[in-house]
Amino acid sequence: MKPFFLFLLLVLAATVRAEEKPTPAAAAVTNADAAAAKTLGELKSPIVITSRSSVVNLRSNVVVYFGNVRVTETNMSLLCEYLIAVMPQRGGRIESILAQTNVVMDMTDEKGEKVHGTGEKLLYTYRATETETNEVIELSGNPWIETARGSTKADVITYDRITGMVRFQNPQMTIQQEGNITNFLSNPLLGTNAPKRKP
Amino acid sequence: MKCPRPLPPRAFGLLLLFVLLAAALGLQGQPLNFGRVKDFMVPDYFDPPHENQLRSRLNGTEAQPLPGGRFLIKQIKLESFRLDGFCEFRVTAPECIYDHTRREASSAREVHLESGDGQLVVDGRGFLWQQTNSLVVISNDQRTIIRPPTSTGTHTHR
Repeated sequence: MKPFFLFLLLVLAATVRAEEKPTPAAAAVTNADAAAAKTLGELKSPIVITSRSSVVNLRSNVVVYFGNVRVTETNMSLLCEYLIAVMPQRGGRIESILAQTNVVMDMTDEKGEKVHGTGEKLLYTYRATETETNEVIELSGNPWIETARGSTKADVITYDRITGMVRFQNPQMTIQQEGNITNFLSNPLLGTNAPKRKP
Repeated sequence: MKCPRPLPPRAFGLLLLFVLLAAALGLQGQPLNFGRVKDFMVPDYFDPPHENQLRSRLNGTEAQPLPGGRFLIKQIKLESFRLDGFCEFRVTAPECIYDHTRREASSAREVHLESGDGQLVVDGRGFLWQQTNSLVVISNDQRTIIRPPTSTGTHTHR
């Protein structure tokens, strides 16, 4: 009975660690999100937004895009059906972007690693006051992110660009292994000191 | 982007009188025989206490009166200003139909919109401008370019 409780404790500890500390897949997301945030907030190259139609509010600097919206930049592309952007005022930064319905995001981080993400809603916000600056990207609505190392599903995936922290609400991660699980278990080099079963 | 200085108040009055007269005749369904008008302009001012400051201005190189208080305007330039006189946006198009009674301009032709600092550029085909709520609807083939901010901003005033 004692080994069972020990095993249970180890599983619980591993679960807590998975939620607190980014896994390799989550770390990849961190880098990619940093690239995306950099793209959105600190423009180095132009962002191009194409869509079927748009509505520009000349007073509030808000532009609403409808139908087959595509946002492209050097290291990022975003597809959705509906997008609201609060445009920069007098040389400032984009304050917020809300992308909705069939959001598909592809980006490449500074190390060249590709990240593919989908969801129903993506929200980017930037707020700067005299005392603090907040810059957050939030993917929700069955968000799913895939990298070369694995994929992650969660209720909400949030990246705080200022602190560099990625939060997954109810994460479900799949880590890619080279080879399959059968090969892994049948490896003769892996094993325990337990006596072999008698046939 | 340079925004030209507005006309003096007396010229505004004459232009506005012309617009109102044409609109009134158009509303009555009478044929208009004004012919073509050069350098057409429709100014719009802020509410009091800033009633002397331009909120928006629609310019055209040529205007042809149409029935129903409407005008066919060629080579239009629409400018939107802030209270401090900063030219926020400039919209240009080869032509449009301006409805004075509804205070709307529309066209099926291509349209180009640019922010005062040049950071935001929008192109498309077919547009509707609603003067009362400062909205521009671009109906087809919309393409926006958001340029990186430049250290030497090109802020323009009227």
